[in-house]
Amino acid sequence: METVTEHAGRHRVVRALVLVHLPVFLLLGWRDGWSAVHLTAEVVVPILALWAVATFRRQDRIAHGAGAIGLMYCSAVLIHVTGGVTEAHFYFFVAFGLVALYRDWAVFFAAAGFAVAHHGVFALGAGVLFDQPYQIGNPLLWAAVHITFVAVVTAVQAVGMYDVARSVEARERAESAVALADERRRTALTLHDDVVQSLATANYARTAGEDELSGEALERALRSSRALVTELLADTPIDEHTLRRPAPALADG
Amino acid sequence: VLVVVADDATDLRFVVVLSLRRDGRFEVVADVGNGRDAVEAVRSHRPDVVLMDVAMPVMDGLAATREIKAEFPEVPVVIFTGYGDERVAAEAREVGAGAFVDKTTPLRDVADVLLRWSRPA
Repeated sequence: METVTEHAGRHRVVRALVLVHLPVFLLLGWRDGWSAVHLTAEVVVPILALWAVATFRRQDRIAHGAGAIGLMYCSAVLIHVTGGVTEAHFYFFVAFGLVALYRDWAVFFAAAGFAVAHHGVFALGAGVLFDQPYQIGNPLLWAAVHITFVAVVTAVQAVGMYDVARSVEARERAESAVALADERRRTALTLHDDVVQSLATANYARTAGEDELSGEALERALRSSRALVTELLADTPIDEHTLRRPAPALADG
Repeated sequence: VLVVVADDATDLRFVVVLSLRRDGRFEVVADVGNGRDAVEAVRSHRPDVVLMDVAMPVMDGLAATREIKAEFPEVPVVIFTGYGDERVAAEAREVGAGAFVDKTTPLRDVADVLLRWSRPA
């Protein structure tokens, strides 16, 4: 099973990646002479995302969602600052892979939704999205192509997440069944020991002439053996059919 | 023959101790209810033989036997158990027990086994 520590480790990676983008954006802004408003627009969302990650660190889904959106926003900024080069678009898919490690449908669909919204809005002219003339000439078509790719990746990841979730559930059920069987085996062994100890005590006490002790031990053995059988038959249906004996009881024979 | 009896079943231990004392050939120097106390009793009394149950609280009889044999290899341990299972017997041999006696064994036979396995005076 995926452990809390593994999950926290993945979250730390996403958080660190978002953080690493900030000095990169500052350097780019300094190199290219961005205005204060421009620089603020590029870094405000990652900063807010890191704030949300820190503030809601005990609420996994919010913290993970904030980390995912922060990372996706950084991907969008890279497309913007590189003038829409194709390689910058690949970065979205890298970010998708990282966000998928959260194994959380809501977080993953939020990230996919961000990518779709980004491409849609920018294709309508909100900013730089592509660098190739054929794409610039028909941004809606090429945004739709990218969105289709995103949708396919999302679907594949969703299937993968569904399979993982089912596997985890199946393993947890199996582990639970094994634990229950182990617990019942221990109980049965203890009850068996109680029965044998009591019968041995009764037998030895009778040999030693301790009749009262022998009787008490026999009664204990009777109670323990009944408990043992009850435990063993806990999951077995008991009805008229199963209670019908094939032969008379020993005591009646 | 000095004997330590270790068994968590109080009544059973009482009857075994009673029978061994009546037998006349044994002196029960300690009767205890768990493996940890059995190890302590061996340290205190250096018995000629130990009669050891397996399933006990605090420390089970096999673990106690392993400790006793590591510290006092000359002290024989006879495993006395309700689990008449070859796997338990194999475990008992593995930890250094001299003999393995099922609790369905008559008491006089248990006494004979103890006598046979006790270290010479």
